[in-house]
This record gives sequence, C-alpha cells and structure tokens, in this order.
Amino acid sequence: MRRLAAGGRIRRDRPLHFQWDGRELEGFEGDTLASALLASGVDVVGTSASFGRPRGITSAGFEEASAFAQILSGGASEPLVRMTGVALYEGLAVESRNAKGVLASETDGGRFEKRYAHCDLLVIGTGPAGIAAALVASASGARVIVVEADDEVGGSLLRDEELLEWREQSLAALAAAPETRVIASATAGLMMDQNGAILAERVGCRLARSVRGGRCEQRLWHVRAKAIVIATGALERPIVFQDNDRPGVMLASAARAYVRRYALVPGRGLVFTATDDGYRTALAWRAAGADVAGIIDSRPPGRGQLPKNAATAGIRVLRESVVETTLGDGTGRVRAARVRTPSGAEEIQTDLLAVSGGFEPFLDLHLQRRGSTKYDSTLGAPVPSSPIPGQWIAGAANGATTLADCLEDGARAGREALAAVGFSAKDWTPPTTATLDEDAPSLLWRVPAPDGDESRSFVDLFRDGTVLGVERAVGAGIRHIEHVKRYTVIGTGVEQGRSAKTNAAALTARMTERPLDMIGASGSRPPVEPLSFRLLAGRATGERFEPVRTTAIHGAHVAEGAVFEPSGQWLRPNHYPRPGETMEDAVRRECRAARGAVAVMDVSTLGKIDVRGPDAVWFLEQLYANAIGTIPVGKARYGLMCRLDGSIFDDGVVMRTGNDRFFITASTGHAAAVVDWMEEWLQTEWPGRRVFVTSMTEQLSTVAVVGPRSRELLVELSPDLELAKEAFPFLAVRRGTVAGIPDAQVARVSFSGELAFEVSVPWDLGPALWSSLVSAGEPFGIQPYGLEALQVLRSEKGYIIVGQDTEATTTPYDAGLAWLVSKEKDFIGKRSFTRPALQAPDRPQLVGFLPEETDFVIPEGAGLVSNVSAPPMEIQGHVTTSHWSETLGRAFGLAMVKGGRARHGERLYAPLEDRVVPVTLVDPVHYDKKGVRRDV
Amino acid sequence: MLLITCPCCGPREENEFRYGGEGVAIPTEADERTWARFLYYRDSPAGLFTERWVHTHGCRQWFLVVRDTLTHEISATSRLDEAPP
Repeated sequence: MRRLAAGGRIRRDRPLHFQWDGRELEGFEGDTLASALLASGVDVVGTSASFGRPRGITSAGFEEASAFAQILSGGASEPLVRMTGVALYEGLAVESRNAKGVLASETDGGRFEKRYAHCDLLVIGTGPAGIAAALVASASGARVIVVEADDEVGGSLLRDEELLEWREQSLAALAAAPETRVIASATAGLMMDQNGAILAERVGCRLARSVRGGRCEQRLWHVRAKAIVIATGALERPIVFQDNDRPGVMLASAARAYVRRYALVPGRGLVFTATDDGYRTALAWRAAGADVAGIIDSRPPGRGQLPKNAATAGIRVLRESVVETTLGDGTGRVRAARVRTPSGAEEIQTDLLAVSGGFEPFLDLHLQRRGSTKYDSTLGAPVPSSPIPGQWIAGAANGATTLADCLEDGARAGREALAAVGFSAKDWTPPTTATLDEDAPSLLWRVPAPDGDESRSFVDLFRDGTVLGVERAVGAGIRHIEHVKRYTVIGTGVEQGRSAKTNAAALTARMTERPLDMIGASGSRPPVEPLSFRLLAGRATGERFEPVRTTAIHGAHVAEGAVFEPSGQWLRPNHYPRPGETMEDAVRRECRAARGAVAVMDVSTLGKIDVRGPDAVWFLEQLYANAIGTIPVGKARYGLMCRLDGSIFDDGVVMRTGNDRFFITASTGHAAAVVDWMEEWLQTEWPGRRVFVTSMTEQLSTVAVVGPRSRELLVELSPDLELAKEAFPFLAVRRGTVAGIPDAQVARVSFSGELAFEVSVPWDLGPALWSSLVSAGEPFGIQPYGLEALQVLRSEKGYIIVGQDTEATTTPYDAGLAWLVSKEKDFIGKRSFTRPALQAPDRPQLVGFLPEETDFVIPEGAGLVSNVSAPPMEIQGHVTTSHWSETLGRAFGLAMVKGGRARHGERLYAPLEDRVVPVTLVDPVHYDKKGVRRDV
Repeated sequence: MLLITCPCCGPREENEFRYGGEGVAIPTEADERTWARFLYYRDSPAGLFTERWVHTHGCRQWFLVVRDTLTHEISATSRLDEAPP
C-alpha cells in the first residue's frame, strides 16, 4: 500500500525505526506494526503453517487470521503476537515465524505488575456504544472503569471518521469525571465468576527502551465490577473463495481503517461485498484519491444510499457478481480477481481485494461465561439471547447495526447497569447522526471454486483449514461443530479461528443439510488473546516466587558454612561441611558428635502452639490418641493425632506447663495445619468450649542440645537449673536461666535417642543462646548438625517422620505406635480403627531393613519384592527412609511392608535400575532398643 | 476467583480463604457402613449448596456460605453462631 502525504491519525513529525526480519524500516508514531509494514511495502509477512503459502495482513484488529510474529525487542522474545495489535516504537524488532512461535529461553529482565481494582461499572470497549454507556455512567457519580484494547479510544468511529468531535468531547468528559478511569491499550481477556475481569494492559512494551523509564512492560488488572457492560463491537466476516488467502486480500472494514487511521491506500483497490458497508471502503479510497477498480456485490440492486453514492462517485459496480478466484504475481500476492458476473466471467486487475461478508457480534467474553446466544438470520451469526446476570451487552456486540442504534443501545445498557447497582442515570442526549438507508446483507459464506478444487479455498488461514477439509470431515460422518473443529483444526489457532468459525459452521450446515441455527458455533476459550506467563507471574519470580522463612539463628548457620535445604517455606541447614569435606564426611562427623559428645541443632522451625483454658485438657484428650490428662504439670509426652478416618495426622510433644496450659510442638511442615485443625474443631464442633489456641512458632527460638555430654554443657550455662538425672528426668520440662537468658524453657525430650534438651528462648535471643552453646561447648567437641544428620539419628532409633514414613492412610497401628493409643478414652479417629479395612493383616506396616550389601544406600522410594522376575513384580512395600549409619557402620533404613511386623527376618529385594539389592527386614529400632542412652 | 463476604471482615478475595466443604454432623452409634459413608461420601449437588469456609488469612473464623455450584453465585454467608442461612 501507499502512504498518503496527508491525513490519517499518524504523527508524521515523529518517524520511528524498526526491524523486520533484520531489515531496517521506518514508520510513524500512531502506526501499528501491521500498518508500518504495509506502508513499507511489506505485504507478505509469513508463510502458512501447513502449506507454506505466502500470507499477508488480513485485518486491522482482532479479526486477524495470519499476521502473527515473534517480537524480539520486548525483553524476552515473545511468540505469536498479533501484528495488528502491536504499537510501533523506536527499536521494535520483529521476526516472521510462519504461524509458529518459539518460547524464550533467556531470563526476562522486564518488570510485570499486577493491580487489583473494584468498580461499580466496567465498560469493555469504546466504540459508540461503549462511550455512550461510559458517559451515562460517569455522569451519575458511579465508579467506572472503561477499557479499550486498541491504543486509541473510539472503536469504529476512528475507521469511519464519524462523530470524531463528539469522541473528543466525550473523552474530555470522562477524563474530568473524578470516579472514572479510562484504560486504553488493555485487552479484557478473561471474564471470571462474580463479574471478575482480567485485563492485560500494555504499558512500557509500547515504548522504545530509551523512553520506558520506570514503567513496567505490562500490567495485569484484576477488576471486580458490580456491573459490566460488554461493548466489544462486531467483527467482520470474510467470504471463502478459491485462493482467498493471497497477500492483498483483506477485510473491507480493515482496508478502510488503513485509509482513515494510517493514510494507506492501495494501488488499485477492488471491493467484494455482500453488505452495503463494503461500499464505504470504496468511497473512502475514492475520497483519498486512490484508484478504485470497482465493487463486486453479490446482491441484486437495492434501495441503499451507499450504492447510490458509489454510483455518483463514478465507481463501477458489478451486481449479482462474485469473486470466484484470484490470480497472483510471482510472490503469490494478489494481482487480479476473477469475477463471475451474470453475463460471464471477467478478470479485474487489483493489488488489494477488500472483502466484506457481513458483521457479527464479538462475543468471546460473553461466551467465556457460557452466555447464551441465538442465531440471527439477518446477520447470519449468533447474537446474545440473554446476558449473564450483572452484565449488559450493548451496541454492535448486541446485534445493533447502525451508529444511532449503537449509541442508543449503549446508553440503555449504561442506564440499566447503573440502576442495578443503585445509581440513577441523568438524562443523556445522543449526538446527532445521519441515518442512511441500508440494504440487508446477503448471507454469502463461500463461492464455489470455478474448477471444483476446494483445497485452496481457505476457511481458516491460520490453520490452513479449507473447504475441502470441512468436506472431508462431513464425509467422514462428523456432524457436531466441535468435532468438525477437531477434525479440521479450524478454529484451534492462537486467534481461536475468530474469522473462521461462522463460515465453518455455515459450510457444515450446508453440507449436512441442516439449518445454520442448528449448528451453533464452536466455543470461545479464555483468554481472548494469549497472556504471557511472565505477565501472569508478575513480580513473583526468582527469589520473590515464594516467601523464604529463616530462623533468628540463620546468620550463624550461614557463618558456619551450612548447606541449606528448603523445608516448606523454611530454609534449614542440611549439613555444615568443613573445608575439604564431602556431604557424607560432614554428616558422619555431625552424627559422631551427637552420639559421642554433644551437638546442637536449630529446631526453631518446629510448630510451637500454646493451648490454654479451662477446657484445654478435655480438648486435647479429643485430639490426641494418647492420654493427656495424666501428664503431670512440668512433664511432656510424645503425642499422636489422628484424622477421623484413623490415619495419622501429626505427631509432636505435648508439654503440660500448667493445670490448664500446654505447650505443644508440631512437625515443621504441619505447624500451620495443626493450628488450623485445632481451630476448626473448636469453632465447628465445640464452640462452647473455653480453649485458646495460639501459634508461638515465631515467638520462640529453640535449640536442641543433644549427646552424652549435653548435660555437662548445660550445667555450665545454667547454674540455677538442677539438671541431675533424678531432679530433671527424661520428659521433664523446667524453666530457668540458660546462658544468661532468664526464664528459658528447657525440655528433656529427644528425637535422636541420646540424652538431649530442647532450650527455648524469646525469638530474638536465639543467636545469643546459639553462640553461647557453641563456644561453651567447644571443650566438649560440640558440633552443629543439620537435617541430614537428624534424619540418620532419628531413623537409627526408628522414630518416624509423619508424611515421609507414613502416608495418608497410615494408622498408629501401621506405624508401630499402638502402644501409645489410649484404650480408656474416645478421641478423633478412634471409631475408624475397627473398620475392616484398617484391620486387614496385609496393611503396610513400618519395619526396619538392612541391605545385604552393607555399604549400599538404597534410594528412598524403592519398591521391595519377594521374588525378582520380569516386571510387573508384586510389590511388598517400599523404602521410606534410607541412610548410611555412622553408628552402625552400615547402610540401613525404614520401610512400609505389607504385614511387615510379622515378617522380621524375611529377605526381600529392591530391584533397582542396574542391580537388585537383597535386604533383610528387621525391627525399626536399630540402635539402643532399651533407650538406655536417652534416659541417663 | 470468587469474592466471598466474610461475616467478620466483609468481602475479600477467595485466596484469603480455605474451603471446608459440606458440614456433616459426626454420627454417633454408627454401624460400619454408616461410618464409612460419613467418612468418604459427600453431597455434590448442582445448584444451591451450603458449605463451610474459613478466613485463613483474615479473622481465621469458620462460617457458612450458600453458593450456587452452577453459577458460583453466593447468596448468603453467616457466622456459625447465627441461624443458618
């Protein structure tokens, strides 16, 4: 196309440079990528996906069926971007990708943001109907958000050069309304339940890097509106004929937009129309001084005003005629159309064939919410039958066809929506518009190929779906439109076959000899246009992906060179390697310290819960499988909670710190769930019970002091605590000064089987406690130890980790914890223990195992079988925990094995990828079965 | 995403809440079959459904919601100590 010297909405004083497939080209501010390419003479923008045919730009907006490209200059490379929706900017770099995209492999440096907004009324679309609705609403004082996908507000007014002055005044009025916000360059992509809408606003990505400043690339809006007016307008429908996919074949309304908005005219334009609107395009060309080859109108002469105007302008009109094929030049671009007239055939030279098959409501947003439609026989397309509650559909989206009707319908929608949310609209006078007599469009879906070859009559340009494809689908017995879609892949492209769907339905109707209203149209999926993952992620990437929780003592772990491991959101030391040490070396050293001297671990991440109140004992008796009321004040007990179905929910230590007061620990990963569990029971089952549950996890730093010399160490640091065995036995809980910190809680509990104390102090005193322990412990050979050593120590003792050694169905009996289940009382889960399924003898039960290759650590999760054969083998169980034990001097582990408790001594096999490891089942307690070391 | 009116805190986005499903009274004196049905079976009606939610990232209170499972429209919410909606 050719750029006119004057006119259009582009800024000729602001030239912009961009790159197309490495070529340096120029356009102007106000151009889209599509218009700038057309102005630069680039009208082949890619080749089609399946057939490799040259393809051009078919539209100026959402109807686009083939012009999609890879944007290279937007931070990370972005695939399949609609070229008619990309605002030109200095330095824009684009690559044609032949209907395929590539995902970026590089990290995106751009910033993407999210905003949340609430409003009384959300108006989507700013054509005449949308502006009218917005004006009515904003004058009432309601909170209004108006969103426009185009970079300019105005919709069809811009391409039709109608009411432009009114548009300016309206924009000024909306800008002045204090509660109204107009967001342009933002696509309403998703309609959510309860009138939620997601908008993707293009911000910095529309600008040259040098002027982006602090702007984000794009902004994702989550808008919640009390009412929504959908004024998304209408889309023009192409007509299917042979070789209708050549570059230079374009929708007629788009060709008009290129004249009016971008000052682009063809060398010699030809219009093929089934509507009066097609005449507007020819008239616009003529008014711009372009050569118009003529108008091919499939309809007989009528009474419409526009054809009269065309005649007055001296434009040649061929009635009752159709384009039946096109002819191309060497590159495949259109050079002529072959026209079938009542008197024969004629070849008409043209470099731009503008096609108008009629307009149909753009209802993707309505259809996303499964809004209902009915077939409109005048438009030949679905129109909304009733909007979703809380929504109003207005203007061309509602089936209106004239400017006056769109304005009136927009105002109606605005008034009704306002009334529904409690505002009263003021009187509003629509601007004066000229009314033209227009003849109804004819429903012309396709023109049969003159030579019968329908393999080049394209229904879906993006997917290379043809009339022949639909014929084959119907020939294969397919009748449902959704099946036709899958068989032909028509409508499965990135543009969801927006300009193909109705034609595909009409062809299916014709071929299956059914009326079109029986066929329906294939659905519309959210989002309307693709949203990039980087926009959806927003700023929640990298270290901001998820909060990272660290303990107060974290700095000390870092200073000691800990290797960290995520544990839920917590970051916990896994081991503390010394220079030159492997992980295995470090873990063995840490274990030796815990079993032979003294070792410390930061266990502040343990869930810590304060439960108090007159009904606390009663409440905990319900929750725990073991007896709680018999715990004396100042003592602790290992406790186990079950779900109603009898499975283990969590374990931990219950310390009775007063008559009506308990301090409970929960496993790190379940801390929040345990508090929630307690609250749920209290609120939903026992609201009358007087119990308060308070999470203390982040109030207290806790350090486990573990090992045969732990008592000696604490004696040094706690002169006022009586730590002798008789005065401070296993499971006792005391308070006293530790390392100068008064009122520390010291509990003699052990998750390692060694003599051990857990010391809890206020959170921010954790580092002081830690450093005192470490320095005072130096003469005893103290070592800090991490999760890996903890795992070794606890599994040597057969102590389970809920969620690792147990699964969602494991009961206390399965886990070998029947000894602590109370027979005296009722508690949550008890009723289920008698269920036959929970009594079955072949349930998986916790066992220990020893691999016969003593130094081979079997991977956790490995299956265990009785007989090794070709797969599938009957699985007897699986390995839940597996380590190398410094204490035992060999590999060992825990497993869940069918009926395992009665199978100690049995030999099973772990078939691995490259070997089979025989194991012997043993008691889960591998070390110090009598607990002598713990009780010293 | 749903907008849920917490009886204590007012309308908030769904991601502040946790779903609790249908509230079913725990049967007493249940035979094995009744108990198993209680544990593993819940209603899933198409239409109005009274369900429990908890405002996890707010007041942490459990409450009742009447939601249309077809449209997600929420017609009422109420505190547990109020008469059910």
